[in-house]
Amino acid sequence: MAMEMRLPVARKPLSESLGRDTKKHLVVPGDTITTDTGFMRGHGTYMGEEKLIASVAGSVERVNKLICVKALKTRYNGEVGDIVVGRITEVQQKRWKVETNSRLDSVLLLSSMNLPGGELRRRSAEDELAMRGFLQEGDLISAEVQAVFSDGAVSLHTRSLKYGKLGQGVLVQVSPSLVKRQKTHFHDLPCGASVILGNNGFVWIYPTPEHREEDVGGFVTNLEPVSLADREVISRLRNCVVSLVTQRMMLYDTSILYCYEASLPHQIKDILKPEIMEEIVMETRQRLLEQEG
Amino acid sequence: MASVSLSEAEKVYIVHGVQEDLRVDGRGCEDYRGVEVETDVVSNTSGSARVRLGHTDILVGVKAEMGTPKLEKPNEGYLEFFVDCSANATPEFEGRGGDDLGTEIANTLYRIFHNKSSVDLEALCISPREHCWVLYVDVLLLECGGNLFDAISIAVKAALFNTRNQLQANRWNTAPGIVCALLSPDLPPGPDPSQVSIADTRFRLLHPRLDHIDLVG
Repeated sequence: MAMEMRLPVARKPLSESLGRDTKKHLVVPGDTITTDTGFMRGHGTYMGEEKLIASVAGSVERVNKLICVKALKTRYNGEVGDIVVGRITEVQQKRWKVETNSRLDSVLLLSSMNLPGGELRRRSAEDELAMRGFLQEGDLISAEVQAVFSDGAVSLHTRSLKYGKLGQGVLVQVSPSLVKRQKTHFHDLPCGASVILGNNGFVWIYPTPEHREEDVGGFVTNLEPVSLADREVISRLRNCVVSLVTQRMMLYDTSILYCYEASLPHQIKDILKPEIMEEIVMETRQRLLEQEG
Repeated sequence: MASVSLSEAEKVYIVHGVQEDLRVDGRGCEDYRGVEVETDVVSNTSGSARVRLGHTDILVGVKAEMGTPKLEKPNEGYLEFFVDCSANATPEFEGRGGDDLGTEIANTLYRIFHNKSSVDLEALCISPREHCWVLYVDVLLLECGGNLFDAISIAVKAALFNTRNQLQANRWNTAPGIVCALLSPDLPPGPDPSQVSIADTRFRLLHPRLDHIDLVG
């Protein structure tokens, strides 16, 4: 039985030749962004002594007159309309507490949850007692952010049939700043699996269901064994997502797909070796740049 | 070893995968994660090593000191193991939570390393019943990501080799016993270069020349 041993090596810095023409303006908390008072201040900044000062470590983004600092590594800050993937941590009286990698646990109210069969009625006491039958501790759900409380806690809802309890698949946890905001976060990749890119950094990879069950809303989980071919696709996608995240690349359907295609010549378990990971991600970056420019 | 909560469907998926010899990250059931080994990391020890196996991070330091042989084995030196499962590794080790695991690992290490093919304990003896070398091996768990026994045994082995290499480099003529003790009697002494060579597929160790060392006995 062979084991692979290696000496630790410092990771090579990403080559600056491939990439943006303008360097990013990086700041740390306390840095002055600008002394010009004509700008509006956005997230991650505050006004002090006639200057605009950064309050988080990240890159400065400027849109016309609005300056904000996008943090490089942060917990998830909820915005209304975001798609999140979360894990149930507690079952309380009329709500569930969901872990979404944010500062406070998110809340899923019983009234924000679809009933099986899609019926519309007032939730009764029996529904309250049967809560654990719908969602237990440890279950994964996909949901949308309905509201954000004043303390930053997020309230979720699963008021559409595409949200709900998730079945068999693999969860990868990444930093929320690496998930690109797009029109849709549910993707059916042509390689044979589907992926949900939660804005909170939870990426859910699962086998594409053969037929869309429209009126179930995710309450009946399919526990039949997944075929080996599908498993290999899912494992490969999982390793690709981990490689992209290690090299700090943005995650969206195109980047994951290009990374998957670049990784096909290698074995699935080899993708996580440092030198192969760099090679694959380099190829992905080049393809993405060609596609853009 | 931190507890992870999973849904029923995820558990079923993982179990079915293992039955088909495909783990979630594409490895087979008997494949190891990549291991990173680094030696000579702690300056005030006789030898040290740090091993990273996936998310598991182990730091081992070896200190050689003079002591008295144990009563039942007057012609041998010995190794003392101490395993510290600190709360840094995982929240379950908070307070006294890590003590049981630490004792279990220390006992296992004692059984592994107290036999003729690992360490020659008689060479650690300086004068019978009076003086002997005692090697204090301290293991520190920095992060707990599974497969502790394998990672710790690799780390201890690497640290002991580092101890021997350090002592040879410093030409400690007072401690030829330790150098001798830490040679594996399976590998014949030969004119190979003194490098711990880490190859890609097999953990091969080449040990140094012995010409300039006074062998005890």
